Amino acid sequence: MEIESRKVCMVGDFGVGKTSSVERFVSNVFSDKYLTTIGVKVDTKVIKSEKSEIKLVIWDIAGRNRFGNIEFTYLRGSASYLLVVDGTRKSTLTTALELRDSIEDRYGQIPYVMLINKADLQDEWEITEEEIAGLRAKNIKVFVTSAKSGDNIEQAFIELSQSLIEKKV
Amino acid sequence: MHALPTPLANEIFSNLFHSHSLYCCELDKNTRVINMWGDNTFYDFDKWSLGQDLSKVDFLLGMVFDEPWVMRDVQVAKDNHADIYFSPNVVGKRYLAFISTQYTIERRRENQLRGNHLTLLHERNKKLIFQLEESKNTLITNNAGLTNFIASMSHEFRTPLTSITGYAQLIGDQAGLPNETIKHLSYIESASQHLLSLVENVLDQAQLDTENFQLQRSNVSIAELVTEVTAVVASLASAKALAFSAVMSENCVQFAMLDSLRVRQILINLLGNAIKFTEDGEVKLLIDSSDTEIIITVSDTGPGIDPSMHQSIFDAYQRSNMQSSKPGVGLGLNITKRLVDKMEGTISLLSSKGNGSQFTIRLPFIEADDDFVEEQTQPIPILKSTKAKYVYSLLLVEDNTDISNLLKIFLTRAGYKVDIAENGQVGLDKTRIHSYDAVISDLQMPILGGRELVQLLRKDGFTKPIFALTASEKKSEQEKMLGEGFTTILTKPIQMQELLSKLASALHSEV
Repeated sequence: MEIESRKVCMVGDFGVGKTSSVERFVSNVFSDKYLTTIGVKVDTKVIKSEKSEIKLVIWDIAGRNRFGNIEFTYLRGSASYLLVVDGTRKSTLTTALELRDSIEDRYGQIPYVMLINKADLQDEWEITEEEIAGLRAKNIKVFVTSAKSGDNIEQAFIELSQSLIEKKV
Repeated sequence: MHALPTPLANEIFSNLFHSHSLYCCELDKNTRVINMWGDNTFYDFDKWSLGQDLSKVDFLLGMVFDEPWVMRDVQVAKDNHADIYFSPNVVGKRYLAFISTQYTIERRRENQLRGNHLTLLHERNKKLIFQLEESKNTLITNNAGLTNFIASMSHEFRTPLTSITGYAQLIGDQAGLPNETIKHLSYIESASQHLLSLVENVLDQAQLDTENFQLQRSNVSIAELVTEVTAVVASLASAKALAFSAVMSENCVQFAMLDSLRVRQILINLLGNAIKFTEDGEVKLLIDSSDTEIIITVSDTGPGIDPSMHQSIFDAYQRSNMQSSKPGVGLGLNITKRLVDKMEGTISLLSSKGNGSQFTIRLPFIEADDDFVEEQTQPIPILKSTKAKYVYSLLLVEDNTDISNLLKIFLTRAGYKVDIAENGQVGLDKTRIHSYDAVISDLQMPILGGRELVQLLRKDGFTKPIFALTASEKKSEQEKMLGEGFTTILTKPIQMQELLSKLASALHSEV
């Protein structure tokens, strides 16, 4: 029997760790070398739960940068998306929230989770606990992650997958 | 507009087809492949087959196939990216076309990387500037705290220093002391003076660091200033058997608006250094002026300063090799230079090893007020006391018994009758019972402080002189105290001769 596929997109500013998060989740690897994504790169991973399994088709979309905004066409038919933020660059949180608003303007409300990445760089952290609590108070599912150490990456994707399975999005 | 000639269009298409690995599929209404053209192995599409539903392919998942769209730079195979075009209605058919972007993607990736690095750099610069601003503000705040700390520490040092120097002087005044004891007393005095000068230098340094440091200019007689300084340093030179001369040029301006305290400090710093480091020969002070500047030259026949040290010698805590063998922390010249800078003057050094040193300071000045000049040129009337045998009665209000006992001994020896009160309240009570010719009061005391006492005394109608003993050198603070009713402010550690002279002057003017 063919496994059902669910498209999820990685969205955020450039350099926040979208590709690293996907690589950590899909292949359990991490590279310090920064290679900016051009266009879109697609990876897959099958997620199994007690009752069923789904194939996550993860679209890793080039981040917003000085040359332009993200390509919103890629988000078509997306069951969900992950808004990725760099905890050491507060401006990327603003970008993430702006991107979310633009996505909702185009495609309506799509479920999403937020990854505040680079938890391994606590010394340079710019987003406060209060700000994170504020986001959670607005019912945003926030995960503080580190693609480098792997902290919370799997949990975020698994939780997202579970909600996709349960809600049959 | 005309279409391209068919042969040319074919040529261009053929070139594009080869260099950009064009690939095309025709789809039916259910997005299944009907026809395929191009090199499907380039895209790893070799597993694709006629009848396959392309809407289920991972990189096309979710796309809607009823309107035209373009997706740029989609990674369609491990090492290949392509732009994907969907056209739903070309002569009634649906086509999906792939044009490889592999040939340009690395260049674009490099450009984007550079752009991203630039953006990050810009963000980091902004953050750094913000952090610098924050650090600067913190430093300013901390600096103010540090200055207050040093000021209070200075206060704590000055009070015991009064006891140390005063009691050493008392012991030294006794006749028939063994030579060994006299030598030990001179050590105590010298160490106390050194400690005092350290405290003063550190305090000055801290004050110069604050933004509210201000010069206090007033009318000054240059000759008087030089005489005062000469009196202080001549004894130091004499103790080392050095020749010392202070010369004021005939053409030198006589009166000027200057911060006399700070100019005095500059002179004492330079002359003190010259005497400290000169073992043989002489130290000279020459005062001259131009139309706009007072020119101070201090020269000595000391060991000289290597030219490589001429700049750094003015830095804080910097000491030349010669200096390191002498007491001090290296603040004197730094303070001198900073004071000269504050006065918008210049300081220069002419010196080489073994040939002595010559410091020249040029200080811009403003002419003194005419009234002051006129007053200074009047002959001074000689005061005669009509109450030569009268014994003045003083009330000394001081909670520190070391200080009060010491002052009582000195003042009694000088011919005064002294009564002591251990705080302001006791002092106030005593003045209401007894009649005193003057009151000398400390400021910080339990129950009632000196500043509260002076206000209550003046309120009671007490019109006699009231002296304040303070450890604070802040001129603004001292001026405020004068406004509150004090007649004279004496700074700790108390110099006994200064106290006696000011006391005599105040009591004479009461006559």
